[in-house]
Amino acid sequence: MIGAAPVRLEAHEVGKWFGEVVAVGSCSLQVGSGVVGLLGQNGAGKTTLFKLLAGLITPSRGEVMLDGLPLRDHVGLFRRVGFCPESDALPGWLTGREFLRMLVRLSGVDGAKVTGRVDDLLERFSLTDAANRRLGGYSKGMRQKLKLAQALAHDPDVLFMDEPLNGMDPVSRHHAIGAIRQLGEEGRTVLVSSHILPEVEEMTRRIILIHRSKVLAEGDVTEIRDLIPEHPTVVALRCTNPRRLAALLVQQDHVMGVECEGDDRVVVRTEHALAFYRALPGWLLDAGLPVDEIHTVDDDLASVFNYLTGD
Amino acid sequence: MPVHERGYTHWNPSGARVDPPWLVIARRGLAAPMKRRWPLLLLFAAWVPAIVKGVIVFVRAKAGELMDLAVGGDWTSISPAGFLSFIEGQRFFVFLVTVILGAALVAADRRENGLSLYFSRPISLLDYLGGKVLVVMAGYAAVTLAPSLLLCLFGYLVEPSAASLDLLLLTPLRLLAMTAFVGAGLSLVLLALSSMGTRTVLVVVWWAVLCLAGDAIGNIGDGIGLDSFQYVNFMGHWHNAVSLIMSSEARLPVPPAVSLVLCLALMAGALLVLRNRIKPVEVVV
Repeated sequence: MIGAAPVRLEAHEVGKWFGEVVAVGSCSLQVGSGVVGLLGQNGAGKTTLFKLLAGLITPSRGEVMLDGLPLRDHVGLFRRVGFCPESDALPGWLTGREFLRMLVRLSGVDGAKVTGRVDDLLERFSLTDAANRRLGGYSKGMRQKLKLAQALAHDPDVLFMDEPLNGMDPVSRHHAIGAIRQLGEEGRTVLVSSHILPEVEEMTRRIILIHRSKVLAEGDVTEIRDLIPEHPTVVALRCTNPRRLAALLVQQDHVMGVECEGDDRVVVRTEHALAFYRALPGWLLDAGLPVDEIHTVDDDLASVFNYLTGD
Repeated sequence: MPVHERGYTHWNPSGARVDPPWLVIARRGLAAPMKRRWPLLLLFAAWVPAIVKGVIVFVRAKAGELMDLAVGGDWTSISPAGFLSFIEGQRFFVFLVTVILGAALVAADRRENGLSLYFSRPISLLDYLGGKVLVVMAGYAAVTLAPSLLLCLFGYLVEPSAASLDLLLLTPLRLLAMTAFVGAGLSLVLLALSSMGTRTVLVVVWWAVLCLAGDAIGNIGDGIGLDSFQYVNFMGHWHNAVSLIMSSEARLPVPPAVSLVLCLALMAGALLVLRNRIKPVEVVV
């Protein structure tokens, strides 16, 4: 399972094909609460999987379940789902307020609460001043904010966000990332589809990686990184006695190679980074070796993505 | 460990006043064109024939059968057949009002990715279609049913009698049945056209071809004595099919039952198209 318990969203051997083209092969997933990034290259099947999980398209095989119920068979379950589409083509003839009002009503919010809810959303996304302007005059960033606002219109506990930061300026982007992280911390399930890895990395360490129509990996980036034996993890340590540290480390399990770089840096290649990190403090304490800094060079999302996809 | 905030599950049924989705969709579909002045002017213009007919009804009641000689035909009559004639005469306004209200209803949603926004909410295809059909039907009823019902009432008030009680009872029921059938049929066909693409202008062209060109071809056929031309008279078939409800003679040289079958086939075809075309597929530009 990916994310915190309990399992909220499940895919059982879900597949989708269009004629002879397989968009998504057989895919099984269990997603709990928290922010999860759905990553993949263009054409990998990311958007199709995203829409399958969001219940927007019918799978050719398998089933998507929300809290144990088939999402496609229970229209009422969509009260718990929020969706932020990728495209920013919105009805230009509506004002921001009208647009949100309609979608809040369609989400089944009590008529008496609609106005208050719309006002709250407009304020939360700093759109109050533009609320009565037509969407045709909104900037790309404002449209993006409005799309996020409509996804939250009915306080859903499962959110699907397709490229949610597209077109946002750096300040709005920073706020949006904070807002998305907060949604995850509140216990909601937030599935974010993106191809901009640093953005996803700022939101979460939990990912689902899809490549050539198949789920290639799912889980925490560090854990996934640890499961790629053909690319040992590179760990850099800074200390005052690098030669002694190198001699100590080269004898240890999980260490595949050690290099001294300059006067104060040791670079270690390990096939099992998590075990290495668990054991490292003990080795250092036993040897009485102080270390000033430790950091993993290539367990970031981009490295994991590149190692797994071979690009 | 995240804190599981459950306070936001306020959507659970609690007797709250929640509008049905089809009503929200219909209301939005009607509100947008009504914001502009010219659709309102068009609606007003569509009522002019009804006003004229009302004047004729009034004058005939006062001046006797002379008016029949002056104007003649079913059109002036306030019988069910007369109302069918009147509604046939409204076909140009029906074309304009339905195309204004309905041409963009699905095309714009497809263009603006509204479908994924709609269907990621607790809305079924039936809710969506119901709301959209209601928009076109409301426009159709505004230029056909509403003036007819008012004329029924007006006719009864001008000549109140036991015989004219029919104007308050049976005739409105016939009109309602006719409007439900023709309005729903035209709406479905128009929406099916609207769902075929994202460009509204193409929907307008196709609707004009169906409504106006079909009528013109049928009339040309009449002129040269070829009844078979009437088979392409799209609007004519709807009126021909309901001629039985309205106790009227056939409107085309085609049996009403044949027109009825054609209309039902068109509705079934339109529903099939809509079922296949209305999918929350996002068009990313």
